[in-house]
Amino acid sequence: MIKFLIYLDTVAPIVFLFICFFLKVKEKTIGLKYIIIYTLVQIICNLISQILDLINENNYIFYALNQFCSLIILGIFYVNLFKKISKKIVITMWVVSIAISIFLNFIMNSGFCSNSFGLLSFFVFTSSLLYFYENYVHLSVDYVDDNFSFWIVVGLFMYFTCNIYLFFTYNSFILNSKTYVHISTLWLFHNFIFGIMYLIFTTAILWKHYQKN
Amino acid sequence: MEALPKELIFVIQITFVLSILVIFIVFVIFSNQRKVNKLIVEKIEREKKYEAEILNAENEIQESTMKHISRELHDNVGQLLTLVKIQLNKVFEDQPDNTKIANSREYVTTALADVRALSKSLNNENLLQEGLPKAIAFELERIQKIGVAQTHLSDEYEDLILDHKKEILVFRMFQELAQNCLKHAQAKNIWVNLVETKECFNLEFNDDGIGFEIEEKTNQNGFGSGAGLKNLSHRASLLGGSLVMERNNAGGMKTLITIPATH
Repeated sequence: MIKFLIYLDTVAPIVFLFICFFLKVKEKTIGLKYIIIYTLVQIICNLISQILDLINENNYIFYALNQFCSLIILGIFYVNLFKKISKKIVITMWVVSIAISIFLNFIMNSGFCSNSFGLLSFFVFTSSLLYFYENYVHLSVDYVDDNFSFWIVVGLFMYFTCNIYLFFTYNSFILNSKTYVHISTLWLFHNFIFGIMYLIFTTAILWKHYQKN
Repeated sequence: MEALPKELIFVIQITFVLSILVIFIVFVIFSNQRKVNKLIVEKIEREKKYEAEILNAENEIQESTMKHISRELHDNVGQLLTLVKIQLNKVFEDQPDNTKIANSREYVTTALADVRALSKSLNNENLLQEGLPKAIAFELERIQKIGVAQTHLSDEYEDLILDHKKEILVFRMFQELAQNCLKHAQAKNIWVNLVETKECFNLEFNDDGIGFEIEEKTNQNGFGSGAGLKNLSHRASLLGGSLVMERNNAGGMKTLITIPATH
């Protein structure tokens, strides 16, 4: 079970991608395209990180790369979700997040920086809340749950919000010798939530596919 | 197994609380959206029902007025023209060489036929007794007789999949299209195609007139601003169908009216 949790951050995206290609999903919503690219980034970065970890090599650069690419892709995804004023807010947050990310990951260059993941989580958290707020306020004839983008936002919101505190505190645990030994347990917990996010994506895509047929 | 330090347990607890918060937010959005959605759908349905009732009332008034005019044309103008024709016949018998009387007799005969045809066209009771295709064929024949345009009917409408009320409305929509075409399009040919499937009835109206830009027409304000087009489209939507207009290959306009079958 624990071994399964260790590899869940690679297995879950692969399963999702496999289902997408197996079902030949041609979803017209903008969401799926970005989530597939995000999934590919997750697979590549997590897989390489795990391989490097197995041979005891430093894999921090791939975590930084993962965070930066995720911020770019999810940023485009969220910017495309909004209109007018909300779009401007999201673009501003996105640009600021990118600037801070570059500073934390590539300029400071002080090993693994979980704060940059915290920043990404904060961006996703606020953008998702804005999306939910818009759905709550604006009246629509269409059911929100019929929209695939809604389920993507739910999945991302679930994963990043649940892990936001974990990301912001992770670096301090690495530095603390008392908690350092148990750090892998915390990462397993993170992987479990990551798996739930992909479970939401997969359920949404399967439900949407079989609803259509 | 060694117990986890308090700090890590705290992180897990916070994560757990956040996950509950996430579920709560999603649930609130979800249930609220469903509730609001239900209200909007109900409101739209109420408005549609109200509009349908208004349309129904409008049609009843229109049909009643048309019936009245039709009766007047048939019983009054028609009778008078018949009397004139009888008297002209008598005069013609006395003066068979008088070409003016012969011509007048012909004109009166044509006028009488036109009045009867117009009277029939205005009265839906007579008109739709033999079904919608016959009524449309009759109307096209009448247009052709006027001599403004050649008409062509392709009829693949066999079973009556529309109820009587819908047929009347479709026929009146067709009449409005034909009148618009005669008034504005300068068309030399009119093609009408009636097609039915299990699900719907299609009326395709084509002409080779000068055509027009739909957006331009519907964006105009004031008199002659395409209100008739909007009205036609509105009528089709109230029947649960649609009306699509576009330019055709002949340079004129193609109008497709689709009405769902009455089951």
